Amino acid sequence: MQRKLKESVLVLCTNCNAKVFGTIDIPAESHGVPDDYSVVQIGSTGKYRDKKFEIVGRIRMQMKDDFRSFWCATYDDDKNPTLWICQSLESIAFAADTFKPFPPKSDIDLNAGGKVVFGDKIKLYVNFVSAPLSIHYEGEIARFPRPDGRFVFVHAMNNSNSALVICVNNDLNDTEMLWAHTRELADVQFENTRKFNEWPQ
Amino acid sequence: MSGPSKTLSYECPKCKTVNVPKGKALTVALTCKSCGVYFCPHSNINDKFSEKRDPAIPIGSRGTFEGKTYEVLGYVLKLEKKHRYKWSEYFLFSPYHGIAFLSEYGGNWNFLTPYANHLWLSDRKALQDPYAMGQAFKLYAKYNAAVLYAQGEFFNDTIAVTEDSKHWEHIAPPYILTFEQSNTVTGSFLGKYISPKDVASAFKMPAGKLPKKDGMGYTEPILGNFTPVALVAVSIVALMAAFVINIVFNNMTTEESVYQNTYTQLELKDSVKMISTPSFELQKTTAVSVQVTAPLDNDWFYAEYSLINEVTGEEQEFSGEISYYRGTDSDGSWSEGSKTTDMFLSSVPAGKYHLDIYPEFSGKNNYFHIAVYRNAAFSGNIWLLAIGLCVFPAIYFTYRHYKEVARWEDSDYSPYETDDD
Repeated sequence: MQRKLKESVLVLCTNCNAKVFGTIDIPAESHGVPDDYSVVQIGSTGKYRDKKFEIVGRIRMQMKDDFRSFWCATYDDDKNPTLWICQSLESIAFAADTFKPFPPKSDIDLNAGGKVVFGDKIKLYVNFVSAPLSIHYEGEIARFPRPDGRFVFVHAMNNSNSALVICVNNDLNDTEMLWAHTRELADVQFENTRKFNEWPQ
Repeated sequence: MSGPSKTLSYECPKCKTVNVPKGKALTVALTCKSCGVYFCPHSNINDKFSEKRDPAIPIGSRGTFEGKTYEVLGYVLKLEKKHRYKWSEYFLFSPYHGIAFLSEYGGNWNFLTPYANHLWLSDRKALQDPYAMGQAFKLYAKYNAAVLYAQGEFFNDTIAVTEDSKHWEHIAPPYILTFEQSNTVTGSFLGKYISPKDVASAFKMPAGKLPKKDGMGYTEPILGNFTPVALVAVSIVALMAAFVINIVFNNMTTEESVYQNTYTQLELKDSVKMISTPSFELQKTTAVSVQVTAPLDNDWFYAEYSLINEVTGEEQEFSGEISYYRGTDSDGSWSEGSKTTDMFLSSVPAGKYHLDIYPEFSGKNNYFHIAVYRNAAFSGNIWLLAIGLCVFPAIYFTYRHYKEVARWEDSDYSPYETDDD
């Protein structure tokens, strides 16, 4: 199976979920994603900032009260060939970037409504914070901070629709983040999506 | 093109019935199909309810809103803790369109979908009057809530999320923006008022099965939602247009005399006291003007008239009085009244007519002149219209103020003074 992502760390067979390639180890129960009526699937395509992308893999985090999907997509961009799409039922955020260390002299209030502060200027508000109860993978995955799921997931926003997804470790020095851009779910169009015969569109 | 998926099923912690969630892995909380206990498979929470209420829209019903079909997966009866009022929420889902809610209070409904594009928070508090969709929303309610009853499936622990959160509701009718905040999540939904009739239509169910509408909904639009400036501007433009049209029509129409004559009191016979005119012809449906003139001097003249269609026998009755008085006093000479009057009949059908006249003379004057015209131009309506256009805005804004006061009646944040203030 040919790898499509430049920074691929895991490839699971799209038919049987067996590990085809990997520089990381994940437990057997994390192979494959439970069916959650996602219309987006591996092979779905779309456009972000006028550049084409194709979904190649997914990380699904089940939280106590919610879930988050991190879709990995090949992106038609020389600088950032991997596109992360962070999706919930209420929002979707795109990041043509890689996870980067949380900068020094920054702070996070781990409560919804709390601030994420970078120095004196940049300030975002946390709108979701939760630790995954389980984490599942399918397809091809780019480098991800804590594949074992032992982190606290934080989603923060500011009023220019910039979003920040952060995987917080106990030590902020071992925390990584991804800058993203939030869009309304209704504004995002995917092609080659999954159809559900039992549901009318 | 994904790997084999895993079918989920959850065993009820109370009766051990195996429940297969309709929402598959999205379902985080559900009520057991056998015993009704509420449980969350991921967190081992389960709960019983002190109250039971069957949802007006059954779980599993499918409804179409703005062309999007959703299925009712869950129903929750909630209680506002301070004022103790209850309302219903229906949790809707479509794989293609995501999640939505229908909320119902007092038979009034709102349809809500997630609103991710708005930042509400300022120093951990919801903004007082957030701005969204090009308009300011006003704070209507801020409350804590409890769940009294739940049925079906939910994509979060609806009891915990409801009871651990603070809730804000802002309105810009017919829209509503809700915001809720717990320690772990903030969420916002944008909704719009939907009439009970449209809810029933969406689910193809009789409107009578829904809760009876009781009073005005707090997001219910007011009939003809005009701004004061717009309404006054429209009234002025309409008034000017009406005057112009009236002038144009008056210039376009030419009155034609169809009959005229002078009658004296001597022509009244003792037994009848009535004068009949000869027949005259109206060749098409037209406005008719009857002009009566009498040589009055400190005197009056009154008559009743009956315009009779000689073919159908239909009568149009009308009457008119003229009076003219003059004199002198310390301010000089004065006069009031007129020696002539016009009586106007609109849309008189074509046909052969005559007039029966029942005159009353004062004793001084003993004759009058009558003239009948067709294609009469009547300016009286334009003045009625003018009065209407001036009065309508006043009536409308009074009505609107009354409705707005009613809308905010249940709010702690009403901009209107109430008896409690």
